[in-house]
Formats: sequence, structure tokens, C-alpha cells
Amino acid sequence: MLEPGRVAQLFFLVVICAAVIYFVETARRGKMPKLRKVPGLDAVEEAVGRATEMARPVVISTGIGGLTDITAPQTIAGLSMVGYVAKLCARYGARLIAPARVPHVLPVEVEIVQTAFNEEGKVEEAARAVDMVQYLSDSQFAYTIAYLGILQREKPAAHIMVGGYWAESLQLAEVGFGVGAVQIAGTANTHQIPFFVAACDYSLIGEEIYAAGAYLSKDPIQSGSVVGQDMGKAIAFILLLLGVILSAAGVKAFTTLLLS
Amino acid sequence: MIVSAFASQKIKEIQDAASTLQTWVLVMVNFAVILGAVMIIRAHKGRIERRKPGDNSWMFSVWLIGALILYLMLGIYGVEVSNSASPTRDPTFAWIYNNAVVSLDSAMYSLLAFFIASAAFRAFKARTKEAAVLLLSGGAIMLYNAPAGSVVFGPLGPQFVALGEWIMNVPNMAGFRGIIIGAAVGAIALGIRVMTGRERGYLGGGE
Repeated sequence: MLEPGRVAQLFFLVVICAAVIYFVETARRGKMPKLRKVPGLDAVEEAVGRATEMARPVVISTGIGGLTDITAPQTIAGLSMVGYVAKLCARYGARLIAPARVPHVLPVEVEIVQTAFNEEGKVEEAARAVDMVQYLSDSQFAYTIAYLGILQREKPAAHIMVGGYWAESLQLAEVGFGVGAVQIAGTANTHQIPFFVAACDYSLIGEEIYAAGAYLSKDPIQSGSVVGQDMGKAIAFILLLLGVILSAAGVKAFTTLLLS
Repeated sequence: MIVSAFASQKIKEIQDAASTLQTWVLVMVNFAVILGAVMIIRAHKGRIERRKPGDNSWMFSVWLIGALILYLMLGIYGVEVSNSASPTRDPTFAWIYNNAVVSLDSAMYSLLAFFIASAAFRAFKARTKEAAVLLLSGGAIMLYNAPAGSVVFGPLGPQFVALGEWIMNVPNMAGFRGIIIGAAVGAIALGIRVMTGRERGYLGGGE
């Protein structure tokens, strides 16, 4: 019935899902979880405020991943950030520019920006959402060069990048630094994280981008899922520790069980 | 799709259903490419219409729309002439792709070396203890990767190479794996929030 080699994977997927659902339900019953501070997420509002004061735009992007492949969670995390930043831009009156690379992400992003402006009562600006989200190119480096052009011409005061980034990450971050933007960047692509750490003011590392939506929404039920996420990490840590100890002791049964 | 990932490959019905769903997604995604092209033409048409005296940047928009339409026509012609689903079978289309698109992509990619140098220059300053560790390990890894690295250290070359390998395989790998595990669990939690409708930030609401 089950594919050999995936039984243990399925078991732990169910365990982690159960932990997330349990803590969501606990939060729903009124036990509010306390999340640690994430400076990169706290700085978003400040960055948009800075852009408003300087009368310069806010540039935000969701990376070069799509919604149909393994990078989809990163793109969804980036889209959550677009929704939050668009609301802040609408509230403070900052100009928003959102370069897009993947055609099927484009209508979703336009809709998000439109909804955010509508929710803030900026109906006229909401109608211009289609101009705020700029489709550049499906080609990675054509997108990059067009994006760099936008950064150079518009000189944004805030530059936010959350999503799946590859080789273009450092190029975007370095040019953003060059034009004097406050930069907040996050990705789960491990090879790009050091570039963001080196070139940006604030970095969101790996899982922090997935927690961004829950953290920024201040919704206790969503925050409960982040506690469940931490339980998942604790389970992974225990498994790692057990694996190391038992393998070092020459007991292969545990590894065999995990590979079943 | 989740069921198909864990169900036995021998259960054809489940795998066929998953395959059909993937085909549907592929069709929908490819329709979005047309939307992308329309959006590009719309944006650049606006720039041409709003052109101001003394600012000649609108000519780039004319060039972009012209190139887009020309290359599209060439692609359609290539598919027709070569009697294949791939326009790259047409020599003219392939020539332009190989000599313009590929070359420009390579040029952009190679620029990364200079961006790395400028970012490293800023990052590798030993202002704090942590930054000093970064500077030392970064320097060691650069010399480890450079062909001259082992020569610089003379007789200590083999030990230096071993140090570089140890940094890459132990602390570096441990850090990377920690991030990967955390990100994987985070993606599962996000997936549950999205599928149960708890997280609606990606739909523009949710605050």
C-alpha cells in the first residue's frame, strides 16, 4: 500500500501535523503562545515609514520561484509579506513597486496588492495595483537586470526580498545597498542565506520566512502553529541525537527503521 | 498529491490521478505566460505614451516590444517549419537564442564575482569576535578553494587542505542541515495553515 522507504517519513509528517494542529487548538482555547522577537519582521513597518518620510518607493519581491514546484512554500511566504507591506504602503501613502518573474504568480500578486489597498480604504490606488506589480521576464537574468534597473532608477528607501532566490540574490542585495535602501531579506535556499546576511540590514533565515505570516498577523491561532513548528524541530533534534548515539554505539536498527 | 507521494508506485490509479492533476497545473501555468506578455506590452506601451521631451528612454520600450513580437513570430514560424513542438529546432531561432540570450545570461551571471567581492569586503571586517571568526574561516575557505592555497602554506599545505575540508564538512554542513530541517518543518506548518485557511496573507487578507 505504501511506497517502501517512505513509511517513516509519513509517520513523522503525521506527528508534526498533529503537533501543529494541537497547538493551534490550544491557542484557540485561549492559551496565547509567546513568540520570540524577529528583528527582521519588526523592522518592516519602520522601513515602510522611512520610505514614506523620504518620499521614495518601497520595492518588494517574492523571488524567482513559482507556485507549482518545491519552492512554492517560499513564494507563499513572500506573498504573505507582499500583502502586509502593501497594507502598510496603503496606510502610510508610500509608493509600492513589486517586480515579478513568474507569470502565474503575477495575477495572485496583483490581487493581493489590490485587496490590501481596498482594505485600507484606498480604492483609487487599488485600481492601479496592476501598475505596481511589474512583470519583468521569465528568464532569471533578464529579470535580474530589469530589477537592478528599477533599483537604480527609483532609488527605493526600503527593499524587501522574501521568497526563493538563487544567483541573483547578491546582485539585488548589493545594488539595493548601493542606492541606500533599508534591506530586509529572507530565503530558505541555504546557499543564498550568507549573501543576504552579508549584504542586507536584516535577514530572515530559513524557517523565519514561513513564520512571517503568523508573526505579522498577531493572530494567536496562527502563532499556535509556530509553536507546533518548534515542536517539529524538537522531534527532529531528538531523532538526530538518538541516531548519533545509537549509530556510534553500533546499533543499526534505528537507522534501518527511519529508512523503512 | 500528498497521497501519491506516499502511496506505492504500483497503485496505478493514484499515480495516474496525480499525473493528470500535474498536467492540469501545467496547462494553467502556461496560460499565465500569455498574461505576462500582455502585461509587459501594456506597461511599455504606457511608457511610450507618457514620453517626455529630452528623455529618450522610451526608445528602449519600443525596442523591447519589437523584439518580443519578432521573437514570438520567429518561434511560431520555427514550430511550423521544423514540424516540432520545440522552436529551437529552427536554426534562426536557435542562433539568436544561443548568441544573444545565452551570452547575455552568462554575462550577467559572471558579474556575480564582482558583487561577491564588494559584499565580502564589507562583511569581512573583524569588528566583533563573531566577525573575526567569519573573516578567518572565510579566508581559510578562499585559500582552500584557490589552486595556489596549498602552495602558499608550503609544507603545511596538506594540513591546510584538511582544515578547509573540516570547515566545509563539519561546522558548515551542520549549520546548513540545521537550517534545512528548520525550513522543512516550517514549510509543513505553513502548508497546514494554508490548507486549513488559517493563513490568508497570500490572498491579501489575514491581518
